[in-house]
Amino acid sequence: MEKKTVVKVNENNYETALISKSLKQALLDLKIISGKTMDLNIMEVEISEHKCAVVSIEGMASTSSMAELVFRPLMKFNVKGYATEDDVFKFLTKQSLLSAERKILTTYGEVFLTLFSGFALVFIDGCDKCVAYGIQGFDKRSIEEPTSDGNLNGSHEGFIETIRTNISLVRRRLKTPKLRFDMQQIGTDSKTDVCVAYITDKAPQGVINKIKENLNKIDLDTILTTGYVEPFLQGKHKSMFSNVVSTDRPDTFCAKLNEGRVGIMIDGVPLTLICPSLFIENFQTIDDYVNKPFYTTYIRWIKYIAFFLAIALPGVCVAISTNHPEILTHKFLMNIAASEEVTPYSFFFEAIIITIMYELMREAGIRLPKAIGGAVSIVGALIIGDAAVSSSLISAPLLIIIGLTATASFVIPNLNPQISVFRMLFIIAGGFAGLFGITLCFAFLLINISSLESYGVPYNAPLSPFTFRAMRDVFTRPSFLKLGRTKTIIEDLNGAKNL
Amino acid sequence: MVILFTARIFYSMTFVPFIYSDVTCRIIGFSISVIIEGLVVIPVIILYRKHPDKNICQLAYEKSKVLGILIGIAFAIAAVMLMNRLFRYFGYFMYVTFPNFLPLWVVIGAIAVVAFYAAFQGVEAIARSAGIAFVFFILSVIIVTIALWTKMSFTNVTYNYPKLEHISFEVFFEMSKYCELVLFPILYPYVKEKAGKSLYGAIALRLITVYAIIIVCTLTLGSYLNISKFPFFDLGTYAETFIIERLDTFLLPAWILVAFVKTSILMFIGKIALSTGLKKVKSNVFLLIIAVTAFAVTLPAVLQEKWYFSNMDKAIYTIVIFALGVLLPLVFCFGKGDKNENE
Amino acid sequence: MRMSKIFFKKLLVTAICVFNILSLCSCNATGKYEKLDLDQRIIVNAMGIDITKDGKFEVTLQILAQEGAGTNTPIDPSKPNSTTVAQVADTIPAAIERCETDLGKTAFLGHTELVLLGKSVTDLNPVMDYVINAQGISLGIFMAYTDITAKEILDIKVNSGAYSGEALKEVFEESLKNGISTECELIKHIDNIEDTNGTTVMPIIKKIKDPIKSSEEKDNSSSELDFGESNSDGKIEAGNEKLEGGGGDDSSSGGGGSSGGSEKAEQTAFYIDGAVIVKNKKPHSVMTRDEIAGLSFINSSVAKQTFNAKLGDMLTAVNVSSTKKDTKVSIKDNRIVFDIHLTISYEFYINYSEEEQKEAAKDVTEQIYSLCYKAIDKALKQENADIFGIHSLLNHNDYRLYQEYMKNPERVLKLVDININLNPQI
Repeated sequence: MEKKTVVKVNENNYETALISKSLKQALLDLKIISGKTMDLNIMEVEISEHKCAVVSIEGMASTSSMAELVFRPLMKFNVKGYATEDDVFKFLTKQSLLSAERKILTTYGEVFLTLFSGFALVFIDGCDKCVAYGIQGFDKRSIEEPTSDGNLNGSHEGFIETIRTNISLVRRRLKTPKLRFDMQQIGTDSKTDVCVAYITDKAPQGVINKIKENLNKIDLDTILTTGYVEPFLQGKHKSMFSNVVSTDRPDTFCAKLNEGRVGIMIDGVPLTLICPSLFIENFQTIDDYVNKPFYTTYIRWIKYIAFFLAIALPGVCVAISTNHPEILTHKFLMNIAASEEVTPYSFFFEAIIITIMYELMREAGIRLPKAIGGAVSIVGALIIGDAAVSSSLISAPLLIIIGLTATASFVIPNLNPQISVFRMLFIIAGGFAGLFGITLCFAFLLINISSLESYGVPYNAPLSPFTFRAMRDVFTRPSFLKLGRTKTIIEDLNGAKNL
Repeated sequence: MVILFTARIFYSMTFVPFIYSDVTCRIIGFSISVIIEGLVVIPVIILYRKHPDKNICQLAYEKSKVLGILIGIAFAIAAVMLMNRLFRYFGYFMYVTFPNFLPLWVVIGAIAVVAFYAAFQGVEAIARSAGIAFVFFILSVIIVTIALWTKMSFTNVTYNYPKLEHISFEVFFEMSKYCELVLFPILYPYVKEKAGKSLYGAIALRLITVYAIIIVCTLTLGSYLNISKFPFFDLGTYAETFIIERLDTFLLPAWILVAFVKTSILMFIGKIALSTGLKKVKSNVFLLIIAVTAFAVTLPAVLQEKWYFSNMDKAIYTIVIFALGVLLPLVFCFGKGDKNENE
Repeated sequence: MRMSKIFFKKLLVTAICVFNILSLCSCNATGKYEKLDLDQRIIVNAMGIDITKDGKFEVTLQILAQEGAGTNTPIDPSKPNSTTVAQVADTIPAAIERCETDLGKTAFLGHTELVLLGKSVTDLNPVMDYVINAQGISLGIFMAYTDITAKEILDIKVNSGAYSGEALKEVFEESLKNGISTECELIKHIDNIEDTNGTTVMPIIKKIKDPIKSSEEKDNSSSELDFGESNSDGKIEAGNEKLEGGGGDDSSSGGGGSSGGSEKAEQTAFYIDGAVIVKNKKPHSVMTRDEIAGLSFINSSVAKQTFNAKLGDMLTAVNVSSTKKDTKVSIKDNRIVFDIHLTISYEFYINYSEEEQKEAAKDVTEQIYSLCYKAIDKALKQENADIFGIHSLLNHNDYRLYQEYMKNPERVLKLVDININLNPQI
């Protein structure tokens, strides 16, 4: 053990190196390891005639808390007569209540982890341990309304970037001791806190273990967004759909935990991940459980229709107009035929052009600052809506179709990437091979969804394999009088295995 | 169950052969064939009960490696043959109903490609897709029936005293379509419910569906059935709703989905049959071989637009189906006990 | 192993890509499989078939007129939306091909509502062969005859925003409900022809130049067709007067709402009057409007028909609809007797006393009896044609007779008597 401390500590071998007994050496080690980074604050003080140092990272620890909770009590500590360094350490760890969170650290690895998490550390000369006080004071965003998953009647709190705050948001909603948060650090450089949350008697142990195993397999330097973690949770499957769903709503997160899912929180990311997730969950929102069942049932059906409209309507229209005009009613066909008469391109090509234009507008609208974003819609409305039609470049019925498609895709924001790509595939398939192409494309989509499994649960459950009990919350939304009693958790779904 | 049903219903949708006999013979012949089918599936069910975890190729392989390989190849050839017939039927269907739509080899090839992708994803993906295809098919039948409700009339029904030759032809015709018998000895280890329930459930479902199709066709089309090649499809040309002028093209997806499910499951059993015996080669290579062979074998017929629906063709399929689906399970059921049992 | 796996995947992806490219190329390169946009097709509303003097087929296609087209208001109701193109050839497909060549577009028959046969078409065989086998033609299209040429009827311009083909379809549907037209869908004709050795009934469409004068023209128009020995007497008696309500409906729908503009000489319309009995797939004779009305009652296909009943010195309108039909087959004195019991309900516009209602109902019942027996006399006694579903009734009631019928329908039909029993319900 002694030998270890003798070895020169540097930024590559500090993780397990023990803290030096000599304060001078310890502070030197800190400077060497951190490369004399400018935000490392070292304040040397004397406590009962013993040399000590308070170390913190600038901006990470609260200065007022440090003054109130660390400096003031330390300065007051004055043992009359002789006091050893152990007495000082004993005072710091057992006889004072300087902050709510207190840790005793022995290695430089622990020192830097806590230091960069906003703790203030007190080193004592002659003591090979240091004491860390949780007085984090870094700036963080306050809890705000979620941006990506809006609702009318549910909670207006959303997750923020700080994982501890997010944990508290969940804990406040689920006060059961069965709710567990297992924290681990991922990312060789970033050491990002990743927390696995679950309810012990609802989440299958097999799924929890598998998720933890997958998280441990992550071999990345940094974890900055959910996208870094998601592929490791999804596994090797190459489906266009994802069996991990993200949410920034604590209430949705809690509802999913209650259904036996496992949640993953990542420090620095306001989104949380939930797995296993099902295809059908993309159509469910927290508002569904606020509104009356009849209305929710109605809205759900609208969403299912919207999905098919968003994905297939332009393709089907192209297929019908190019290959199967007999399907359309007589007058409708005549109207389309008459409007197509004056446009220079084929219906198929027009559909491709206008779909690409729509995607351009949408992407521009998202990326541009909000102040300019409005201009995009004006340009879109003017160019596509008016000029293209009046100059007979694009037929009016097609514009209505694409408008309807775009509106339908806004209804299911979670599936927007898949919808965008499949929409184009359907248009091409419909243009070349009519309804035959559309059906094969649909078969491909079906297989793509059907082949996906999320931790042993088929992604398209409870539709196929069919689970009648769970279907009540798919095609309808039963009242909580029934739903509360007969709530299905993932283990109840047909086809679920290895859980 | 749904896979078996979806795989089989394709023929019922494509050919309701009133051309060869009348509705009375059709119903009687179909009913008799269902009873026969109920009996001939018994060996497979017994085999399943004895060895629920091993398919017939695995059982053969345990007895003798050569036997296992040979039976595997036999099942793979049967799968290719069944796919060949399916492609020819589908090609003929497209040839008659949408002649200038697409080159037929493209039609067949596209189905083979998507089915290959499905088979590549495994039997569970196929089963789940089959569930959706099944719902789609049932919905199509219901929508067509509702659309034609006012146009049905009992005066369109003409009864005839059934002739024995017509009935026997119908029974023979139906028997040549017992593709479940070939599918099930390979598929049963994947079945989660009881084998009997699956098989008899599929048979019962088909019984109801085919009766429904026959009744709707007869009540609506009347004597036109005598000249119609695809009565169920022709229902679509007559059916009209307030949204869709004609339902025939609307029915096309049902055909394609059912054909796709059937092709993918046949590819899958071919792959399993071969990979049981020949373990050294990756199973997906077999899948590719089977898909390409089935497509290549069908290509001449499709390019020449000759469909070979002769009685000889039906006889060959009947022999193959009965040999692999009835006799072989029978031998394994009641033959000498296998090594494991003796030990 | 890993290398071979990667190679396999690459091979697979390449194979699928090659297949897709080949497919797309072959779809577009081969003229046969060329994808047609809507503006490359001519959407045929109605098809007319006439036979020229030299025995060739003259096919008239009624298509969407492009003058009515515009991007924002695709169909301009103020303009005529249909036009016709006609060509002569040895066969029907050849004539259609010539029409296509004239317009430089491909004919799309999937939306054809009507196949109209001119007076000159005396053999249905080629027509039926064509419509049964033609790609895309629906089983639900209407087939009818006209007393002039099909081209003349299809040339009628309709100014209501609808197409004359569709207007004709509406006329058919309304006439069928009113009992003044027989069922004329293609599938019905095929069924009848298959069941009865080539016998069916096809309604006749006629053209009127001035809708105001339509009723007068109708009175004089039913004798224009001449299909051989049994010509119609051409006189429409009391029964026809009672059908005025239905007739009036026809002309207004056929004229496309042209009642306000009837002064214009070119304003034309069409209506249905009578039907052609087709035997052995050849037009044989004409049934008058009365006879068709009787036939509709016997076949129980009258949804609502207005009759004028005598009530003392005045006339009153009675709505009649057939609700139930029971048929019994028996053999009496070596004759096959069909007892058809029809339940008919009467509805009065004015609240009459019970006695008055009975009196009116009695009058209407007599009129219906008269119409039914006119139809029986004409079709069964004179023409020996099975248009009452005798084939089906025999099949359902007496299989032995049905077998006899299948062997020799003419002989069996001569032995058939039909008795009508009306059961009026007020």
